[in-house]
Amino acid sequence: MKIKINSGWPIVFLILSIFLGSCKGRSSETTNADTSTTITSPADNTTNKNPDTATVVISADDSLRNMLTDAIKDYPGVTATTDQGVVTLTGNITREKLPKLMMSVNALHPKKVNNKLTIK
Amino acid sequence: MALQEKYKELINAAQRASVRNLTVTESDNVLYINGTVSDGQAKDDLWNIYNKIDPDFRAGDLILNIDASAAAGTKAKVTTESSNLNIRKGPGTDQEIIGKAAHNEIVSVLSKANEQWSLIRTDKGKEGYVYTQYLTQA
Repeated sequence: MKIKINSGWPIVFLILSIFLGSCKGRSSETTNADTSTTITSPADNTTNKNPDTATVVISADDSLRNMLTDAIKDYPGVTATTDQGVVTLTGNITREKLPKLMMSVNALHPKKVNNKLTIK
Repeated sequence: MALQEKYKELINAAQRASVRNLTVTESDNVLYINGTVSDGQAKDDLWNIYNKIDPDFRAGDLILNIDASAAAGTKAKVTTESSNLNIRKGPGTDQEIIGKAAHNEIVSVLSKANEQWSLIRTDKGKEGYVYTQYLTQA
């Protein structure tokens, strides 16, 4: 009996070491799997970089006309008309004031802005 | 797609500038870029790129709508050119002027009435509507 138990220990160690060895092998496989996941992720990033598209909302002419009155109030010499959402700006403006006016008009949800202003 | 190519630098900058709710849509040969930013400088930077790609905004092929206005419940700075900002009884330039906010004054934004007008309160307690474009998040 005693001899059998003593001779059994090395076998237990052998089995344990084989088991641990195979575990180690599995964990390295897992690492490889993660790496391959990382390789696919730049493709996901590229997809995310494409911004969302949305339905274009265009203001009705009546509403646009009212809003344009307010938008051009501080720009004497500028006239704004609208037809089916297309805003046309005419008159005179300085180059330094133009961006602010355009920001204001672009925020009103027009279909299009035709800038026919003469820049002084 | 051709317009997205033309304004590629602008679209890329909008993505880098962390524009929230950014949408880019092309319809009937006009490109629509919408989004929200938290400071006026980010908006100005995007408009400078637009002006560089399409000098003086002549092409009529882009609607750039970047909202940098102060949100309700926050403080805003009056960013007029130099003059005082009219505080009106209601949302519209046809409404009575009931007060003024000074250039660079900090005011509280109570709510947004519509696309153009915000209800504000000054530190002196004057309440009324001002043109949102002249408010910048403080």
